[in-house]
Amino acid sequence: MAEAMNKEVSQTGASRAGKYLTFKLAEEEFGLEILKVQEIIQLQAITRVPRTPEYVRGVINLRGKVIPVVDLRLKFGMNHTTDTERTCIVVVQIRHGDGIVVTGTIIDEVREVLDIPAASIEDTPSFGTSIDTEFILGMGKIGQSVKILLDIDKVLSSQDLTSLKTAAGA
Amino acid sequence: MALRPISQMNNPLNPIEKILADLHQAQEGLPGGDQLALAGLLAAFDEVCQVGHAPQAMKTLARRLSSSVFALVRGETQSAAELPKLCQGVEKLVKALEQLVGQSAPQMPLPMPPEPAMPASMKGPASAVDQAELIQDLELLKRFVERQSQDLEGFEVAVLEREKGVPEGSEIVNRYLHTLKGEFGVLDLPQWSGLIHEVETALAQRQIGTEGLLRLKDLLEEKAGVLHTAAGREVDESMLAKIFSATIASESQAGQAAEPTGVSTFTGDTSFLVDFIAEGGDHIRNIEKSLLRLETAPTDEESLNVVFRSCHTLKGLAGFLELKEIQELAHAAESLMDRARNHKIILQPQHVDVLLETTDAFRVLVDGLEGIQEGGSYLPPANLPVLIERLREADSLPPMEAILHDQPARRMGELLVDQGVDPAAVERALSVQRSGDSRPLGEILLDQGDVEARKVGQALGQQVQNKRAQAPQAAMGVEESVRVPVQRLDLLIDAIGEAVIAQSMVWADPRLMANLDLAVEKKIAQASLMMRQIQELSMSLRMVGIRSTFQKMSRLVRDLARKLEKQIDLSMEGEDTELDKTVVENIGDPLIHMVRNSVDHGVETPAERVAAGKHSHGTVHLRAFHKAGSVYIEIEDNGKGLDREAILRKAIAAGKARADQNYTDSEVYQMVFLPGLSTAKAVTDVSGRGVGMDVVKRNIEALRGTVEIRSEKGKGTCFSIRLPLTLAIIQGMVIQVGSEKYIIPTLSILSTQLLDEACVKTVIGKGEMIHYHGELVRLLRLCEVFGARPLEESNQGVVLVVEDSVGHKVGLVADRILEQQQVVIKNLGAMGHVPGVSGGAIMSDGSVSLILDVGGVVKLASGDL
Repeated sequence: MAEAMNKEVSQTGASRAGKYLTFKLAEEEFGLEILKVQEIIQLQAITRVPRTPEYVRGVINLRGKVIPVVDLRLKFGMNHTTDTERTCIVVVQIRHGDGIVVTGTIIDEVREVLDIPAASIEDTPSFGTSIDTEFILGMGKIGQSVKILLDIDKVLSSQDLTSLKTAAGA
Repeated sequence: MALRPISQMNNPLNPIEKILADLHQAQEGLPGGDQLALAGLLAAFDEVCQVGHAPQAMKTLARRLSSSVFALVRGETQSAAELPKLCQGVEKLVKALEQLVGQSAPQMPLPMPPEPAMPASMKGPASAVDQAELIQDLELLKRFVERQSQDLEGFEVAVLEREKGVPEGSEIVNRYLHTLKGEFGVLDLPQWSGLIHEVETALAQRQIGTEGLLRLKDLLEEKAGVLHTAAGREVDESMLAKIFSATIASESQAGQAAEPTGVSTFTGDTSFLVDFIAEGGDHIRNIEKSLLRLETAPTDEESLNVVFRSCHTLKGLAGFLELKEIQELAHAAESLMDRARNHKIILQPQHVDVLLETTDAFRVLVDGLEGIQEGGSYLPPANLPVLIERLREADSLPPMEAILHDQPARRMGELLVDQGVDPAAVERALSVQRSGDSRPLGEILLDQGDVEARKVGQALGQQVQNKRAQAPQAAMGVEESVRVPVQRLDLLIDAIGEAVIAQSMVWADPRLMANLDLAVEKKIAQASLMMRQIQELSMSLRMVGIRSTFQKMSRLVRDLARKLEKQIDLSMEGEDTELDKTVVENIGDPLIHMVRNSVDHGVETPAERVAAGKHSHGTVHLRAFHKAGSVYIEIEDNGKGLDREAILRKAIAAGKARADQNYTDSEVYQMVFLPGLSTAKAVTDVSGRGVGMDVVKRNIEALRGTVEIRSEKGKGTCFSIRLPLTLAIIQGMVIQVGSEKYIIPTLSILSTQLLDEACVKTVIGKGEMIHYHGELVRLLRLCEVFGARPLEESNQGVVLVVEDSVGHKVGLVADRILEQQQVVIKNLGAMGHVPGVSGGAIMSDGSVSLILDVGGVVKLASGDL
């Protein structure tokens, strides 16, 4: 059912409204659809997987399942910083083909869960950020601040993982 | 449903078209209630019932219409009200028939066994002929087909046993055929059930043998998938011809024409017939139910009496109605039961089988009577005389012998003493037996009058039960089971695996260990024990016996031996050895290759064998067993053995071995697995192309197994396959590569040695090489291949010599070997496929380590060059 809801959310513009988990990467704030978030865990020992793109930090053991972990800072081309005690892993469920796969994303700091009404969400401006706009659902305006709402399915499509992997291997 | 010798049977070209013509004709007169038209209708309906490939539903309709015509003629119903309805019904039937004509070319109707009685209510109302209902219950069929794939294997085995003269074999064959016939009937596949019926008949009359039965099995296997299609429903002449050899096929056709000889005429009073059919059905059901109980408890008085009484009643009723077949059969069964009832004999499984077959024959007879009229005819089952004869034979079987002489687990005497028989009497009887009396103990005791027959019977029953308990596998397919989707099973196994890891993480936690008291320790130990048990259990869920795979071989050996004109006995051992489902599924092909090899190259022709001073019969022995955490499957023959010199010569000629080197026997034998190397002098269609064995080896390695060959010239060869118990767990070597840890499957490591940097040579275009047993082996530094951060302190590396997927040796350089341990393989989830890595494993500290894929690593490194 969650999947059906996810589809609905990402398909129509008006249905972008909803609850978002907001977090910080460097100085910018981002939002993740709450329905995609499985859990938030502490940073733990990550096993590097050879010959994968730099932003793939490796794999971790999530209660017996091996899942990949992606560093969103590196994915978005931001500077790498050392991990702090606020650094954590947001485990998300992303669509992959007909099924759902679980992936971890490393972010700097979790902020809060916000209910963002449709009126506060604007389409992505085509200027000014270092981020590929394809990954963005829209911009959420909360008071003075602007949060970048991510389309996490696109950010972490595993096809992307493999294609970059082969590119790195060659 | 009466089967009459009608002219149309002899002119089989288009029975349906003829019926249609009749129906059309009758339809014209019908609205007026014309008597002639009604009579014509009745005849046409009757004929519909005889069309072999007409769907069950159509026949039901015809029968229903037929009875309403009867009612009309007798004046039981008002013609004004009934006639329009009848017209509609006939219309429907005509349409259905026309469809049938369009669907399939009219063909020879098979002599139909009377179908299992199927009340009209089960098939729904008249609309049953609607196309929707003509398509039979697909779900039912699907389940049937699923089951058949297993049952057919069993059938084949039984056929082969039957050939060897094992009585159980022929029993299973008979029972299987019979069940199959019934199932086809239920599935509304009348042509198929007709076919099986013919096979049954031919078998009883010894017209077909093993070949025919095997071909039947092939045919069924081939057609199982298409039974739901219109074409699959049909049985054509070519299939028949395949099963019955040419001469027999013509015989069976002749048999159809000459049907009248087998047909009996009913001369009794029809008015009682309906009652008899209903009552007879009840009796038959009672008999069957009680017989099944008797199979496990042969001395159950209540059941014995029920069977006896029902047989007796049947006999009486049949006599009254002058149904001599039923009367005779019932009489034979009754006298057998009488002796059993009076403790003269103890029912043995053979008895029960014959009696069950008798029940089936009763049913066929009674069903045949349905709708019959005075002077009408019905077809008694062809095996009737045989059956009566067998009942008589069973009656005179020397009682108890079979059971008593079969080395029982507990001696008869002991059991009798348990039953309260005087030990002294038993002692006396035993001494009589020792003095040369060959009779069984029970019988001597009976004669001496020291014991009641009932007690002997009970003791025998006990003995039989004890035996069954000892050999639960002896009865085929009695184990109860639940079908569970594999996916759900895997989820459960995964979850349990996770629980085990979580538990060991708790156990290994230093904070817990620091302040542990005895009570807590005990509790944790208890929990670990339970966890281990659950894990073992979960592993066993995926385990299946290798039996069915082995059984396929017996057919293979038989056919091959015949083709090659060799005499080969196949024996098996450890068929119940269990292996992971995936392994069992994938071991079949390699096994077939190896068995073929043994039969073709291993075992000699009878002439050669005799010349070599051996028995003209060769043997191939299949064996499966557990040893040291692995499963072994061995194929051993007592043929000529491998020719070491010939293999070596070939290998040298092919450039795979060197003439100046001394190889051990096992090294030489391993060369038969090299691609393109066959020692066969001639390429036959059986083997010899040299493609088989390298595929075998690769398949087995894909299952993480190994093959070894032992051979002695002139004595035979043994291929020994070693397989892991499960695919989910591997034995791994944990190695340090730079700052990272990896796991390399222990099975893939040929040897390990310390790296002596001084010995490393650099060859242009090939990278670094070292000497390994006289060979130059390429070195791959894993640290570089994987781009790991090198260790800060310098240390002497180790070389792990492995073989890549094409058999080249490669030396992998790691920093050190840390430990060896069993790990549970996990896939990398969303990570997808990573070159050089076959999966991950969770270590006892909860971290993930990657498992190396040796072939992939070599490929990776080659890409770098």
